[in-house]
Amino acid sequence: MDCTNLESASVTIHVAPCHLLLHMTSSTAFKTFSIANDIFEVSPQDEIYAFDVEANKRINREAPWDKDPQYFKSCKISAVALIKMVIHARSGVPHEIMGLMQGKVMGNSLVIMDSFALPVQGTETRVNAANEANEYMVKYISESEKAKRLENAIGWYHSHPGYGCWLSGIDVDTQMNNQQFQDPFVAVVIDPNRTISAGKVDIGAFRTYPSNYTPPNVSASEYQSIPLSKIEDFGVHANQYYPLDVEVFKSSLDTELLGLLWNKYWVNTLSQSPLISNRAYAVSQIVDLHQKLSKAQATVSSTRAPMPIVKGQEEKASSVPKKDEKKKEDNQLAKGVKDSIKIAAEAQHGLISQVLKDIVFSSRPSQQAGAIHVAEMIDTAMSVE
Amino acid sequence: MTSQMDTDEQSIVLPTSTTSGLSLSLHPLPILNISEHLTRLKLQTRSNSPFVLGALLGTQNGREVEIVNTFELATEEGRDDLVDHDFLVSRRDQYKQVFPSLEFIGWYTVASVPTSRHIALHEQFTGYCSTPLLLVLQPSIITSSSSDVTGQTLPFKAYEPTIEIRDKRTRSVFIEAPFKVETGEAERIAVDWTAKGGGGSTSLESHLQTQRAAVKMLHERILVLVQYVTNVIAGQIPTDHTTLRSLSALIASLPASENKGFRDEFNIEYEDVQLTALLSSLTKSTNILNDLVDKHLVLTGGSRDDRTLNVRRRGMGRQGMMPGDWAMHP
Repeated sequence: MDCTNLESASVTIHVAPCHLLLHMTSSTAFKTFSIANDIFEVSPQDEIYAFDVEANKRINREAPWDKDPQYFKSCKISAVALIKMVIHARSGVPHEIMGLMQGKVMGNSLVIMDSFALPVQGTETRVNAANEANEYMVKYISESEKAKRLENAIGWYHSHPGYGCWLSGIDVDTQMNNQQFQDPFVAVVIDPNRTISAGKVDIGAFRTYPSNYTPPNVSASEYQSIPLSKIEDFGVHANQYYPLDVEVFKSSLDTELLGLLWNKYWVNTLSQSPLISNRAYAVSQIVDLHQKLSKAQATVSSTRAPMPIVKGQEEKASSVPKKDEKKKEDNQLAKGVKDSIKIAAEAQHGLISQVLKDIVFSSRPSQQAGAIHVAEMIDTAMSVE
Repeated sequence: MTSQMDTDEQSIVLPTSTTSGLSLSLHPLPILNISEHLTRLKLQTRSNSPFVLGALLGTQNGREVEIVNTFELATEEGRDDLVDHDFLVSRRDQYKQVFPSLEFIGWYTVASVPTSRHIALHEQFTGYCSTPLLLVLQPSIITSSSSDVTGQTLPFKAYEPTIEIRDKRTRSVFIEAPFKVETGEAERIAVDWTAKGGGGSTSLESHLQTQRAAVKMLHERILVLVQYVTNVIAGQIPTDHTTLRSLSALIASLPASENKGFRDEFNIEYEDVQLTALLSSLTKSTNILNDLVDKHLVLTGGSRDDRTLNVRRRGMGRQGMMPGDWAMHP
């Protein structure tokens, strides 16, 4: 609605490739010089791609993660590893797929350089699907050296098509096992269905706690919508692992190529429609929401409002029952509301693209209704969120 | 003799008048894979132009070829011109297990222009595929001659092998094959996300920004076409009838969809989405109403005794909420 905001925001987008261009102009002279004289220059952005054998051995010997179960704070994933994992996850829908990742440890962060797929399909009943792929894994990793890929296996990834990024009971067991015998190891989960309907990659990285460890403070994690059939599995194990921050990194060459790629695939941005490609998932989400609301209907009569607190009142005046409510547990209905808002917002986004395309390609010059149509759409979209 | 050989060398690539009949699509993943391979080798060998070799995976349907994925290849110990075939076969079979629809369709390397060295390497791949393609990344400086960003192309070139008969001698040469960039939806989202650096929310604003960027590109392309036609009319540029014909065909096909069937389906989809929005608003209002009633009960229900509060709430709850009504109204 705020047009000036959009204008300036999109100018930023357009400026970005121009900015790349200016940067290149000023440094082409330098590049010519350095290539002609074979001066080997590494931009700081690319340092992460170098594999230092000695440093790797040293940190594996020291193993600081043994002493601190919360040692790792973040997980850095390279652009190629991420794209490969997302494509693999999407190609496997509706099955859960899995694969391995190769990388190294850098400070408090697990760095993932590459990933490869395993020829097994994980299901809820297969406890150790990884065992079947052992031969494949061993062969792939041992041969990687020939291809100059020196990093070791650093984690595994699998997909949860349509039900979010978290670790199920079996996943927790597998990961605890991995962390016991193959540390450092990280578990990554990808949801390809949500990725497409939301338009951004839905990914999570997790480390489990050892079985005898209780985390000092359980911070309320960000709410994510989980289908009814899985919600019990989610809740029971939710305290046995913690999430890592996920960052994506790319090389300077990657950045240049991505800038140039945009010149080609802007067409796909217009031509693809998440409404159509994700129909089955959208339907399943609404069915699930219906079930949740039916459940909510039963419990709604027993909701209580939190006691109002007079300003300045002592904290000790709060009685015991209030401490439970302080955890800000949303009741069933409120959770249903959050889910419904998410579904409606994503559907609105998809519809906006369709309406825009309709206006650009189908309206005759005399029709002025186009602009009004878009304004209406944006209003609806904003009122939903 | 040597001078004759030198002039014979000429170019392994046939001049651009001969174009390949292939319709080639390239996905972004191979592009980024090759870039990562190059960056990694640069750092390992500490040189600006290491020898990069890898295989292309994809699908081939007659003249339509799609390059979907890649993997690295190794050469025999110490020798730069012999491909390690065992490694190739083992990797290729491993990829076949996971992606059965993809096949080995060619190889890639980094060079500014293919040379006879590449022909020699090329011969070693003919055993795996009838006409292996060559994809080359040209590391030379991406010149910024035009200030128009949209005019720049990717520094990749694809070549198809063929035999040239000249002076009663045959030799293998390459023909350049034009390619376009295709992408699957998941791939596009992942590439988009990494281009923006990861993170970021799915707000309405960012979605609109992406749409606007794409429409802006379309607008710029259209401006270029308009410029061309204006120049032709003004007589500054010789008319190219093929281009003009395709332009008029394009305009004739607009508006793109006045087909009744399309309109119906579009309207149905539109209504479905708006219905979802309505449902979501209703749910939100119900929740707010519920909260309101709860708070009202707290205010009016007395405060001291928890038990009495519960009893009275339960009683009032039945009246206030009318849960039975919900079950009755479908």
